This record gives sequence, C-alpha cells and structure tokens, in this order.
Amino acid sequence: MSKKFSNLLRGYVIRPKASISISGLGGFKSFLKEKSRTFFVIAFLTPFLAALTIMYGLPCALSVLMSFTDMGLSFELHFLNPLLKNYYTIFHVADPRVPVVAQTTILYVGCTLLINAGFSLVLGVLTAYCIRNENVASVLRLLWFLPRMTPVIIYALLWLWFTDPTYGPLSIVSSWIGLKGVRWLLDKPYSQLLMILVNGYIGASWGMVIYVSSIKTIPLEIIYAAKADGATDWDVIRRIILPLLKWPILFVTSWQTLSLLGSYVEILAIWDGYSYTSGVEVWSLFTYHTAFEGYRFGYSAALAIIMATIALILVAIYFKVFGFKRMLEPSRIEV
Amino acid sequence: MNPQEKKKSLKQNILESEKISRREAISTAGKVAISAVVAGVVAGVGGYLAGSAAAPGRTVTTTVTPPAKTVTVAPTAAAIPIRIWPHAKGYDKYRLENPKDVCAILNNMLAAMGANVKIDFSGTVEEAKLEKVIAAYKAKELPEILGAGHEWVGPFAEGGYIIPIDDYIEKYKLLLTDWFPYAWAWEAMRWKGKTYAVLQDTECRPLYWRRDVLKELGWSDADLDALPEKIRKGEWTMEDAISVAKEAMDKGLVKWGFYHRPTPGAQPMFVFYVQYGGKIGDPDTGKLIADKDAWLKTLELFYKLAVEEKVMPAMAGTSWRTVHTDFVNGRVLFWFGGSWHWAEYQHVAYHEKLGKVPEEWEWEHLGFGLVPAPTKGLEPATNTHPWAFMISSQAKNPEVAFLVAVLQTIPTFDVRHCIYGGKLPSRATTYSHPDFKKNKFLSSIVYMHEYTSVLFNHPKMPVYTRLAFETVTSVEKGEKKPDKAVEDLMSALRAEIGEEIIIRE
Repeated sequence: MSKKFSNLLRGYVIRPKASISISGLGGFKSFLKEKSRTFFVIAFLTPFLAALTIMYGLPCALSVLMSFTDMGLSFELHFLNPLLKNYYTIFHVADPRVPVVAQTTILYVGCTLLINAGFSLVLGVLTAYCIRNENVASVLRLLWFLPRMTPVIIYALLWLWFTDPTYGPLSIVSSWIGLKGVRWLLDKPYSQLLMILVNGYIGASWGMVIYVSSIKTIPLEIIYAAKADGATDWDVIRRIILPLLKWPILFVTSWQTLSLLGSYVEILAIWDGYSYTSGVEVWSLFTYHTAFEGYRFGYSAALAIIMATIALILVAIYFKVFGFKRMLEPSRIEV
Repeated sequence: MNPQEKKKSLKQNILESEKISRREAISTAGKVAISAVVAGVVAGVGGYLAGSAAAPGRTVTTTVTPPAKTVTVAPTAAAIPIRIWPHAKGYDKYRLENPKDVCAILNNMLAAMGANVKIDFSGTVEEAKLEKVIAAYKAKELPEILGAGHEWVGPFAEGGYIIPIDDYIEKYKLLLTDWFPYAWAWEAMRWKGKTYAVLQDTECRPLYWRRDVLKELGWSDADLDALPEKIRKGEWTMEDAISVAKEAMDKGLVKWGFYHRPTPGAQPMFVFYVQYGGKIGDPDTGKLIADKDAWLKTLELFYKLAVEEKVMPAMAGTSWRTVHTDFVNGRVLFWFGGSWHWAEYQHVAYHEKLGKVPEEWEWEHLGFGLVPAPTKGLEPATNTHPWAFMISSQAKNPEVAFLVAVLQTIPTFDVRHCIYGGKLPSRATTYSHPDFKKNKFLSSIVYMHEYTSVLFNHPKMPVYTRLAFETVTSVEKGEKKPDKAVEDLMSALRAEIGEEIIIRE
C-alpha cells in the first residue's frame, strides 16, 4: 500500500511509530479508536464508489461490448467479424453523415464553450465584483438562471414560438434588420447560431455560479491592499481575480466540454425531424437517432465510445494546459 | 522541557511530517475512485463473459402426493385475463370501450350457459410503445392485446413480442367474410409473409381546399361540387392545382397556395412517390425499396412548388397550430391534411373569430378530395395509417384475445369508434350501418380507400420517412437541386438502412 494511500485512509492521523502494547480491553478500545477514522472514510466513500460503478462503470462496460456487435431490436450480442467493423465504418467515412456531424459538433462545442466558460466568467466577475449592489447582482443572476430552472420541453416550446417563421418575434425583428425571410430554424448558418444561443443561454448560468462563489472566497484584504496601492478595477480583475480563478476556470471548462459533447436534448426538442438538414445534428444527437430511430444499438454504442474517448482526451489536454499538477501542490501564496 | 512535553512534541513532529496536504488527499482519492471504476468495468466485462456460457440443464423431479381425503368445495370461476394497451386517448376512447363491452357480452353469454369461466378484462388508454413492451416482456407481464400503428408489426414480430395469427384467421374465417375489401388492409398487418395483427381502424389523407377562396376566383358551386370527381378521374392534376394556387396568391386572396405537414410522415411525400410509380417495400423479402427515379420526380415536384412557383413554403419548423390556424382562417388554399382534421376543427378553437367551427361551416367553406395526380396520365392517390391490434407472445389465452380483437370490429362496435374518432372502419359492412351513413363526411371519403397506399411494415421505416422529409426540406429551402438531393438521399439510405433497403435506379 503506498504511503499516500495509507495516509489518505488514516486522514490526518498517523500510526504512531512507537509500538502500542495491546493489553486487554483497553488496548482493543484504543485500536478501534485509532482505526475509526479509517472506517469512517471507507464508509463515506463506499456509497459513492458503488453508485459510480453501477451507474457509470457497468453501462460503460456494456457499451464497449455492444460496440463490437450489430445489436438491433432482438437485443442479442452478435459479435461482428471483423470485431471493429463499426469503428471502420465511422473512421473510413463509410457513413456519409459522419463528417458533417463531426463538423457540426466541433462548431457547436467550440462556440458554445466560449459562452459557457468564457461569457459566464464575464457574468461572474460582473455580478460578484463590478456590481456593488448585491440586490441588482442577485436579480441579474436570477435572470440568467431562469432557462436552467425551466423544464426542457417548456424551454424548447418557448424558442419554437419565438422563432416561428410567421408569428415569432425573432422573425419580426429579423425583418427590421434586413434579414427578412430568414428561417431561423431551417437556414444555415442562422439555425446553427440559434443552436449555440439556445444552449449557451442555459450553460452560462452554471459557470457564473461557480465563478461567483470562487470570487466571493477571495479575501477582501487583498483587494483593499491593491486599491490602496492605486490599482484600478481592471487591474484587480486582471491581476488578482483571474489568476486566483485558475482552478475554477479549469473545472468549468472541462465540465462544460464534457457536458456539451453529450448534450442534445434541447436540439432534439426544437429541431426534431429536420436537425440534419438544418445543420444542427451533433454527434450525440446522431448517436441517439441511430439507436432509437434506426435501432442500431451496436453502431450507436461505437459512436458513443468514440465521443467518450475524445472527451477524455480533451480533459487530459486541459489538465496539461492549465497545469493541473502544479495546482495540486501547496499554495505559494499565504492566504 | 519535561519528558511528557518532549514526548508530546516528538509526536506532533511525527504527525506534522507524515501529514499529507489536502491536495494530495484529493489526488489520491481521485486515483482510488478511478481504480474502483476500472475494477468495476473489468468485473462487469468478466462477469458477463463468464455468465454468457449456457449453464448445463438439470432435471428436477418433483413428487406430488395426492391429498389424503377428498373435500368437495364450490368451484370458483376460472378467469381468462384479457389485458390491452390500445392507445385510447381522447377521440379514440372506443379502442378501449369496444373490447371492454365485447368481454362483458361474452361474460354474460358464458354465465347464461352456466360455464364456470369468465373473462377478466383490464386495460389502459396507453399505446403499446416499444420501451413499455420490452420492459413488460422482460417482466413476463405483456398484455394480451397490443395496439399500435401498423409500422410496429415488423419490429414487434422481429423482437418476438407478438405471435402470428394465420391459424386463428383460418379457424374463424366466417367472422371475417365482410372484412375490408382492399388487399393493403391485410398487407399492413403482415411481416415476412405471416399475419400478426387485426386491423382496428384506418383513415385517409385527403387534399383539403378552401371553397370560399375558389369562389372568389370565379368557381361556381357546381364546379366546386364536381372537383372531387374530376380529381378521381385524373382530369384535374397537381399542375392545375399549382396554377390555381398561383392565381389566388397573385390576387392576394391567400398567403400561401399549399401547406403540408411540418414533421416527417407519409403525406404527401410518399403519396407523390407512389404516384410516380415508386414502391415502398417488398413483401417477399421484407426489405424496403427506394426507386430513385420516382424520388427524383417527387423532389422535382416539391422544387416546383416551393422554389420555382413559390406557392408553398419550406414547412419544417412551422408549428402544427400555425398550420391549422392558417388553413382554417383562409390564409392557405390547399392543405395536405388527414381525415381526422375534419373532427378536430370542430373540437379545437383554430378559427380566430368562431373558435371551434360547426360542421355546417366546414361544408360551406372547405372541400376535400384525393391528392391529385401529379400530371395527366398518372393516378390520384392518398395514404392511410392503419391501426393494428396485435396478440402478444405472452398472452395467457391467445385464441380468446384474437376473438376479442376481431369481435370488437363488428359494425355495432366499429361504428361507434368511427363516428366518435373520425376514423374509417375495418369492415365493409360498417359502411351500411345507419349511424355511419348518417355521417356525411365519413361516407364521402370511403371511396378514397380504393386509391390508398400504406407505408411498409419495417423497423427502419421511421428512418426512411425522416430521411425523405429531410431531403424534401432541403429542396424546399432551395439548398439543393432535385438531382443532387436524390443522390444524397440514396447515399443516406444506404448508410443508415444498409442491406435492409433495395435501391433501384
């Protein structure tokens, strides 16, 4: 057992180097007392680890197995020959939709990430630092939180009404700004822009909350000291707040990347039936259609495994770029 | 420092030196979590592979000891369960009421005969959806009768959830002599040569038009009354409809000439496709068919409607409410609707002034007929979506379930469902039922069954429908010309349906 692992189990309690003489009940009691923290940690982690294994680990294992089969409505695992046939189909572009779907996904994840991780940072800094009135800041945060609190179907319906080609406010406003006749649900790139906005409007609130919480933990003394030294608000944001938000930025960016790669519900609810022709069929939606419309569970499992692999690679890249290891070391700033 | 203090200080130093930082603890916890997940994955894979080998069978011998003495007790009635998921929401309530009443009558008959058996009927308004069927099948709780669109006959048969009923059809053929006279009625209930379902109801998809708008273009009542027959004879085609629509739009009488459904479905895409000679499926092989030439002509027609003549918008993305509201309020001249919309306009407030329109208003303002032939020389057509009652493979008494499914189609029951739900019957004799004859609309559209087609029973039919709709949408938007669009459609069909579709040039 490694030193770190054994220390983790013991928490902050170290097994004394001096030998303990166990004599009778007193010794057993002190043994239990000594190990209680270890048992507590194991008991604390077990439900989480069990849930993780059952909810994610086992389905993941099944998906891997399914990806080597041509499983259909019979729900039987008939392994393909060659075993990697589904993957060949995807990578050798035997399916003409795969490149288009991949391009759409890159556009969707890349642009929506700018909102979910980038614009949410702007919102966080604005509402946590720039706006001094806490009531105004709270109202702004609540407005941004409304889409997240709204059930998905209601949210999708509202967007469908908003973009209705005949009566929707967006169509009416578009005609005022020289975009008369633009069908926001159908015409590329407008439909793709709409897809980004629909998902970005939901995603920005989550990052905003994380950033606001992180900014609130920065000791005010640092900011006062900086102000006393003549720093402007922009200096405070650039030189104090942003550097201290490195960990939350990494967390939000990684989380939102994973979330966006797997998100499709809003797109499905709004563009059901014509997502591909509107240029909004992302990889996860394509996987869903392949599984639950085409009943090609084996092929869709292969699509899902590829998406999951790309997600893990991206997270590893983020960790490298943000210096994850360095962030784990003790802080050099005495706070 | 005294020895006690020294010992305490030494202990603290050891403590401090062995203490790990919070970051290290989190990092190690993460490694523990990942290791546990990986262990779980390996255990799951290994467990599955180990368990997949068939266990050897074993014979269990049970000895039953007869009771020591005989006690006579009054026998309780044996119960035959008949459970049903018919999809009986709203206007289709008689899909549940009819089988229930059949079972009640059968129970009365059995009681009158002194038979010690009764039918235990239970049902919900729910449809037999795939996920429900799978879950119930796994739990061995599948109801006796499953109601769903005919397109589910193939998937359910492939999955082993329903049983063929050819033997029962032969045994009870006397009950079926007045069955629906058109071949497609039974074809729609078949999968790979076997019959799996009983036709519960059907409908048709006419072309509706605004009589009042045509009158403003100078049409007389006699012209309007003669139009359905002219369409039926092929004398009035889509080319005529397009020119009339253009005239109405140019004069500012309507906003659009044509509307069609804004979501994937059969009409009018597959109606035009069949009119151009396209086949949807091959009953012998059970495979889907895509006739490239027929699809090209279909797409050219949509291109003409939306891009060249501009009498129809790209419909995808338009809400259903907008479609019905625009037609009912006279902003659209022609609408590729469904026969049930006649009843819907009476029950849903689409009209901006009248709200729900009375049937007299409909007869005065709306007309309907077959979908006209695209050009002279071709045939008018329509499409239908039959509803199927299937007998499940876990039915406790499948023969009784079959009888209930068939008996609930006799005219006395059939006509209730047709009148209330705006549907067409399963039996030819229902047409002559007095209540059916009183319903002017249903009686007026019965002839359309002679010109109808159905989508094919295949699990991948929804994929075919969606791809066709997407292709039509791309043509309507002007994004692709028909020749490019048809190539993309064939390519997409090959990729997504693969060997289960035959592409014919």
